Amino acid sequence: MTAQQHSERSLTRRNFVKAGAVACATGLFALNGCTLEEVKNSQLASEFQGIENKQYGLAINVSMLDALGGQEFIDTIIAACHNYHNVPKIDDPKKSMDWIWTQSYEEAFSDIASTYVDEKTASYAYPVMCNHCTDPQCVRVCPTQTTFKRPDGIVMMDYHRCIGCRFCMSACPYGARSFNFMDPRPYVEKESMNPGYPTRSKGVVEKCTLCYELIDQGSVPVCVQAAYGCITFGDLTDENSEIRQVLSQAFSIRRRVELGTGPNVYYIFDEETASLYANGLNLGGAHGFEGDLLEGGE
Amino acid sequence: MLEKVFKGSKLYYGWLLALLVLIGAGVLAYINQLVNGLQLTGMSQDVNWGLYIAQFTFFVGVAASGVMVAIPLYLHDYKEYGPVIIFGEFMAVAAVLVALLNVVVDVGYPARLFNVVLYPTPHSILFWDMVVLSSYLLVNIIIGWTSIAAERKGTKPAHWVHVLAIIAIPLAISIHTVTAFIYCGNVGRPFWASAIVACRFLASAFAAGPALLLLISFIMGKFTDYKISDKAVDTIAKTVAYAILANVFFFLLEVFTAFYGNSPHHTEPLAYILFGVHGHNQLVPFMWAAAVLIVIGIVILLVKKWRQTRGLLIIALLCIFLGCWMDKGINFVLAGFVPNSFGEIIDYVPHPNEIMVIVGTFAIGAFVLTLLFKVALAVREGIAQPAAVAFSEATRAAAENQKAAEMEEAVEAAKAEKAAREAEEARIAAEEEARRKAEEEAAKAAEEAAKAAEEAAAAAEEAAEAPATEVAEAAEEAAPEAAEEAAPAAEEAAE
Repeated sequence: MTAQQHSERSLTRRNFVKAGAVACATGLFALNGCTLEEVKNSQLASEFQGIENKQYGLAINVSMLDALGGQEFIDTIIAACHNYHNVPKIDDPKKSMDWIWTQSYEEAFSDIASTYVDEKTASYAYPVMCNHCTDPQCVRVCPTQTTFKRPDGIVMMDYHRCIGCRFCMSACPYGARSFNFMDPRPYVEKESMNPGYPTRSKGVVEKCTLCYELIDQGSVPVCVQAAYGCITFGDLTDENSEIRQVLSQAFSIRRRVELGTGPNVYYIFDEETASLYANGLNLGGAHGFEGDLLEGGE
Repeated sequence: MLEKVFKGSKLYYGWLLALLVLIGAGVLAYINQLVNGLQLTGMSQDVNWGLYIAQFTFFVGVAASGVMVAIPLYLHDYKEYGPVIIFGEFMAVAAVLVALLNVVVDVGYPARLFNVVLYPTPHSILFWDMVVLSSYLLVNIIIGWTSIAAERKGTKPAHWVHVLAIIAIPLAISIHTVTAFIYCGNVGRPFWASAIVACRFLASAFAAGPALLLLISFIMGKFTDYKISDKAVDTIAKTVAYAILANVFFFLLEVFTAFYGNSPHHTEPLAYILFGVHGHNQLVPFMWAAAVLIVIGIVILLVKKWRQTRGLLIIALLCIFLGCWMDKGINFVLAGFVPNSFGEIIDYVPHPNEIMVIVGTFAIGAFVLTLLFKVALAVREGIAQPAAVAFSEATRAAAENQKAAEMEEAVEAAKAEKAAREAEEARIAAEEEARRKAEEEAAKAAEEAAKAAEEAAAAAEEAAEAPATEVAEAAEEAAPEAAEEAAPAAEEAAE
């Protein structure tokens, strides 16, 4: 038997490598088939019935918030949100976690703030949060589709997929996202803890989710419930919705519109309604959010 | 080939040990961070990327700079870079490793890192960064390893290696471009959202990377037999000079655009690093230190005499490397978060733990670089030594053979010459003999002819009394005939 015959019959190195490459490719293809079968977040989202082609948003009447107590009143809304969502209370401002908080007019609207602005506008406290943008930067940059946009316009987070790269924080022009620099659980106060809502782990990003779980049950977000009518929730694409009615009757602004992200949180200035509202209701001091949301709203 | 890393001097082992100590310290610091979270960094909710991502950015640049050696060699056949390219490729491998490690230590939930592969997201720049960085790493490992393996066997690398080396060129450009896209796609960060970021990144990379390659080459030259040719050194130094000038130019374009247009979004981050804003000036020293270092470097590199003075060149390269590092490895990333979404300025105060982690990643890079360079150098030495011995032996043998052959030849030549001379002499003698004989014969024939002519003349005189004319005619006829007959005889004799 000559050497050539030998090499023809046995497995040469070249053939072995070739066969190996083919086997690997086949395996990868098969595996790929497996992942294709997996349910994606977007598919999951679209399975919700009746939430397609919407754009939920908020209209915050800052004049009314001021009439009801300003910062003090807003703090009760913030507490309601943070307690409901088990947002940790971290004192260090560099690491603090916030889903909703307040900024001054100049801070929240640095791009449009006038130098000589009326006292009231300048003195209001402006609650800020995720704007659930129509074209969200965070969703575009996320490498794992951890943050994604539901068909109803809510910008969602999957805390079990987030790798904690914080690209979304760099991309968000609204500073709406918070990163868990430490284990958040010790910072969730026991007395105000909500056992019905999951806590997050260290190393993931979190933010306002517009209380999607309440919306899915037909209810409205916690902040809206706690704001006694100062914050209106609704579908901005539906011209008959309450939020569109509210927006059509008063002057409103949004944050950093020129960036093209399409923020969906509106700030309404409406002194008249605010004074009527404040006089017509005897709130008797700051009211916190006290409803039992775990039952699922209406 | 890998076994070559185990054989080295005490200095080599000492260096590796020192690196291992640093790596150990870095690993401990990282474990600390894994347990306690990223609170052990200077990062905050407002400055959400810090020194880790800055190191990532800088070292992606160092990795990309390998093309500054590859392009002249592979595309322009600039042979001076032939012996250098392997170190450029191995340096790229180590640099990509440092860059990737700094991403790994930066993410909050590293156990889920594979999600980037499990959920590929083409609209995310980080996904593409993973694609190009891992491709570039793989390609450089393959090229470097196969090249050095081929060198060991004394053959040329296969053709596909050359093809891969050419593919690596656009890949190198792409890794830094994609890294720039991570920043310049953020509309909310005016300092980053500039079209020139990719150009600036590439320019500063092509200055800092080759500068580092030269500095490492000089260090290797001091401790090993490695020698980089002066011509190659000067060409790389020129590359560094052009690149750093481009980088400065691009930076000044940013400065003009921001300050002439005077939009506060653009001026504030630049003012923050150049002069400080509202008392926040922690990055100002780095900015101006970088400026001074880079200017010193440029001046030295531009003056040919200074550039070609080794000591000054080293100073220039150090200045430029450090300057670029301060610019890109510190300031660029941190200044991007100024001001934040609310016009506030939040300072970044590095945590000792994160610095230790970064030192650990550098040490891992240096460790891998040392091992790779060791393999390359050992393979070269391994080729050089036995080959030299064999060569000298062969030349000696060849010389001896040649000598013997020459002597033999000389003898032969002498013999042949002698034979030739003898033959010549013999020929001459034979000719003379022949001539002499012929002359004798000719003379005899002439004599005979003369005698015959005399006889004929006498006969003619005798016959003159009778019919004189007839006799005279007969005599005349006889004389030439006799002469004619005598002539061939004489000729024959002469031959």
